[in-house]
Amino acid sequence: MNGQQNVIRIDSDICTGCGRCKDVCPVGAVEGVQGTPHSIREDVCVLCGQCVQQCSAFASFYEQHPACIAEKKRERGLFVSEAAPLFAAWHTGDAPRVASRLAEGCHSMVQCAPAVRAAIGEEFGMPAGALTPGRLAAALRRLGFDRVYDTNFAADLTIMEEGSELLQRMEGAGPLPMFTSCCPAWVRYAEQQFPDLLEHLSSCKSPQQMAGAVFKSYGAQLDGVDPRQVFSVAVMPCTCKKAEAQRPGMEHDGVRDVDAVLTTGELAAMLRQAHIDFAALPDEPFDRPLGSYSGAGNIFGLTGGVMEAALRTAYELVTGEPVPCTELVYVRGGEGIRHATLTMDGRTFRVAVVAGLQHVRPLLEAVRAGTCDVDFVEVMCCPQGCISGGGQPKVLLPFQRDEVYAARKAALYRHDAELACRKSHENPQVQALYREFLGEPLGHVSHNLLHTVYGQTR
Amino acid sequence: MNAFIVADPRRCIGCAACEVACAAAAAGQSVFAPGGQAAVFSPRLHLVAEAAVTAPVQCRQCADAPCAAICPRGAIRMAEGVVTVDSGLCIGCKMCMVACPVGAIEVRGGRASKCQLCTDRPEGPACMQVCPAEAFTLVRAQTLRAELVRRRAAGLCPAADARP
Repeated sequence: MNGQQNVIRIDSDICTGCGRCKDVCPVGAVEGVQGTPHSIREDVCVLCGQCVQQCSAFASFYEQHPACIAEKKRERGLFVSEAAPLFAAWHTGDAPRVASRLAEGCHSMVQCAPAVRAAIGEEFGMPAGALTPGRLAAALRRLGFDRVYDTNFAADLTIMEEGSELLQRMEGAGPLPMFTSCCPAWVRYAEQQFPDLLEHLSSCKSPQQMAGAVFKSYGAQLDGVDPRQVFSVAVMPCTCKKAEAQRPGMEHDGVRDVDAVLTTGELAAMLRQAHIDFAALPDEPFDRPLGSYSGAGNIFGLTGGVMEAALRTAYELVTGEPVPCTELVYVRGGEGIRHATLTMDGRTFRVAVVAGLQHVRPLLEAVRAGTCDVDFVEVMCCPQGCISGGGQPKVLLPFQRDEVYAARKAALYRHDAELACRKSHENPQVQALYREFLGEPLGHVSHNLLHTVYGQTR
Repeated sequence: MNAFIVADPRRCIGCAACEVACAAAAAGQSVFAPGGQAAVFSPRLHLVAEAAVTAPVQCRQCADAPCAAICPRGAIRMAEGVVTVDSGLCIGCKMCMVACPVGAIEVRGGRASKCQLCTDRPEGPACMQVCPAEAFTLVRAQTLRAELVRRRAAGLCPAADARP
């Protein structure tokens, strides 16, 4: 398994030193002189993979490279027979390892993040914004996963825990503003640059880690297997999720929540290897109970989605009434920072949404100075949220990027709108999980499984 | 339209003399001259060789060049009918290689490199000069017009097996 530090790398054999990765790195972690191979400062890099998305310097057929291409593919954790070009900026891969583990036979459970279903079709010739949750579930089943569950379920669970935590803090139980902790690149940035503000981070694990923890406890119990026998895989639009799965604290009784993380692109490669024609698959449902989700869980995949999902539930918890309009369009938007207020039971609730990690610093400095008049902040590292993550299908031509990201966002909003259940607390399987296993949000079992302490970087 | 050089695969014998001549023109010295062996071999056209057919491929000097449109630094421009790389602006990002529909531009030594019709060479294009099979044609607008007229006059269809 690859170490937490080196998920994102630049191949000095292939890098031409054009420096375009510097343009998109939100934390200035790329260094190098123009025209010579660049490198990444590991102490600053947040592993978001935007450089991997941007890099256009590929190993050309005409050039001689010191190491042979097959060797490089092995080093990168790619299938050697995969025909995709190699770019200078790359992320470590886990697909061959997952494929061989599945072939060996194990009790496998898989989850996939919301943004994956709005992008993986692009890998198979479908138009940008093709929404394929049913094909995705079918594809994972064809690969041999025993339980095809969903990160969206855990996103609903996150709302229950994080929403309850926020309301407790509003009553004085902790510092405000509270920041979301779903985005591991953002958590990493906070740990590196603002360690004094970590108590402002929600103690919730991310949906990926919550899902993993529930798979290996409740899920294992349902299937009558030892949690140690469960192979837990996550399919993510994100490169930093690979590192998050290996963080200290992301385990219970010595059992890792998540054993392997694949990016959207890696899942597509696995499907091609297995000769599964994604576009021709039928729509199939995700498995119950841990694959059921609400529209709120589904919009975690784009900027403003966690905030919107949280407000749909928080409003009802505070006022006892459903939110007047389910679609809280004022928290929707694009890259940058936006503020909004919502009045609940006579109290004005102030929120902020940050998309693009480079935009968060002024807000953090205001918190440090005690001048930040916000209660709850969502931070997503990537420019449009997870749909633009570093592990998504690469949009190589810059002029197509806005269009593709807009199509993926529209797909997730469309999916939310077409689901009968659109609020996390109304997800019947989440309710059942609390009834049968967890007890209550922020209860003892939740504390052990679903929360962590940020700031432990090793 | 811009003038461009294209090779006829029916004439090409696959000797690759054009690649050598192009590289020598690019390096400014002959590989046969003293010290010539040390020159950087950087041809701007490539011989594509398949079992049944061979032909060199080089820039078509597109009127609305995709490489120029995609370049993030504006380093590729049209200069007097030739798609021209400004090496001072080029950052070597390879976006032009991605965009080119014929694979006629590449990054060498960190800078984009492509056929610019040897406009700085008094003898004209080196590839045309050296080719023993006379496979190359410098296609100009008037060449095409003349060919059109010739075929119509001969009552031939456009796909007729003929050369200007």
